[in-house]
Amino acid sequence: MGSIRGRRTTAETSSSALQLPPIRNRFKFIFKVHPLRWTWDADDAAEGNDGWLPEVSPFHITPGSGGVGDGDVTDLAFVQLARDGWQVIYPNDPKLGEYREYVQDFPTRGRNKVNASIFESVRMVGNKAIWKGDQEAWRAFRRHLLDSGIVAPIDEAVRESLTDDLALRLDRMRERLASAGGNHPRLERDIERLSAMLDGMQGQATEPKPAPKRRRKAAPKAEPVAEEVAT
Amino acid sequence: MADEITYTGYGANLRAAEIFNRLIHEDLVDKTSLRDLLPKLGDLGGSGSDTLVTPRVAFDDAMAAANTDEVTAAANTALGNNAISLSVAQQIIQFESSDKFAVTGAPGHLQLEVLAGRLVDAYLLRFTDQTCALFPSFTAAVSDTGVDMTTDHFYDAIFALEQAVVPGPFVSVLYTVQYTDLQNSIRGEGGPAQYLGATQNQTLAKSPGYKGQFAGVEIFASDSVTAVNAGADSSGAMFGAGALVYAEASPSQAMPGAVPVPVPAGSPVYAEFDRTANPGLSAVVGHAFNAVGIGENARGVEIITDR
Repeated sequence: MGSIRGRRTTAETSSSALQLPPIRNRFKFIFKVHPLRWTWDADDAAEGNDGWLPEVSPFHITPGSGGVGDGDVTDLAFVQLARDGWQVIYPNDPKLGEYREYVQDFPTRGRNKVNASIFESVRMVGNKAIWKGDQEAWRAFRRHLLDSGIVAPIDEAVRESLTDDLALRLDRMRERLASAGGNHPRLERDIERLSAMLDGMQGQATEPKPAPKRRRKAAPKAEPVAEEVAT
Repeated sequence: MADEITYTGYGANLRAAEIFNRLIHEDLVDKTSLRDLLPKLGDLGGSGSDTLVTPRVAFDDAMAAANTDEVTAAANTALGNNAISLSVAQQIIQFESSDKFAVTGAPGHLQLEVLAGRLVDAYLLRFTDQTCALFPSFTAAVSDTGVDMTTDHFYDAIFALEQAVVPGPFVSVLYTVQYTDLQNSIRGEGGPAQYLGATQNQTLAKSPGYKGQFAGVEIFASDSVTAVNAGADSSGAMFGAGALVYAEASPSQAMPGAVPVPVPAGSPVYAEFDRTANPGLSAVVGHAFNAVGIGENARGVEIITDR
């Protein structure tokens, strides 16, 4: 008699293998950047860069939203994005290198898959899905977009405008703190944080200017010396 | 004394082990509906196309001084123009139950008829998801990654809209955590700034999800607001009328062979029962065709703060 062999049940193969509970708004997506949207990152600056990183945001691909048609057709959607100045970061762009195919999907108990970027991971703790983002990898990805030439560096005018915006915001917060009186630790902390950011932005915003040419101080014109008149 | 009739002694045979309550408890679901906030650009039902193109014109050309020589004609002025394209896509949901489930059910139990009544809710949930998915496509943003939302962010968004000459009233849709962070910040506000919570009268006139008003801006909180920046932040938004728009395609009549389910008037949802005799399954299916899009990008601003 032959024996029937069972297969050891593992977390991956069991019928109760980890599946996420249904999450409605984790659609398929594609990353996009806009030439006006940048953030200044102190950690990036600490690595010897200028600190300006493109703000990368998702375009959610779900039919009936933003020009996406039945079957996730994105032709119209991408035309509209381009019209608004967005640049799409195609996941299969070879220049992305290790970041190619940056979308991952997870099995769920619901009808739709749950999508996330490769910079996110999820764990089931009890019956709750807890998401975690790798912010260091996220920053490295945004730096890679610049270094690889996929995204052009920040325009000087945009850099100045964003720096001015932050300076204005700080002014408003300082005025508010001054007029509010009393103790506002949260506001004080925010002012301190943003001041440091502004210092960093301004430090990078101004290119090191060439040293001004030293001009020999012109000899003072000889004043007509009044002759002492002996009286 | 002996042979008392007790629950412990006799209950197993003389009492039911449990009674199934005919009340159905509904679990927590965020039913925020944003459909009432957005202008509807048209209904494509019976129109001959699935795409609605709405022309946009910018009448921002002021007169200029005439030529001083009095004889040279002025040149024509180019009219700024554009178009909003909305292509409706099909949205669908189906619930199916077996005959055994249906036959053994008693009045008040969860049956297909109950589920049929929830198809409109399902459409509104989908509509809210579709709308919130658009927030990251506003080109203007108030962004402070990893930082709890405060009134400063809220005012920054107002200022951004006002500087872009967006006419009010403004509406803000925030992730639930953004909203509570904002509430916490409002607690420390002094002076004339006040939060007006949603009272019963206000909520009667507003969609589900309405939380109140701050600085003249109507606030909605929704768990449909998506995550950005590798999950660190939420992508809320503030916008004026016309920033986001939608179109629908309502059927003018029941589909051939369908057994229609009544839905509220004005709803684009149409529903029908479906029957599979073998093995004995009944289904209720809800359909809707819609498109939600950005009407004018300059009328909205994304709010990115800690999730």
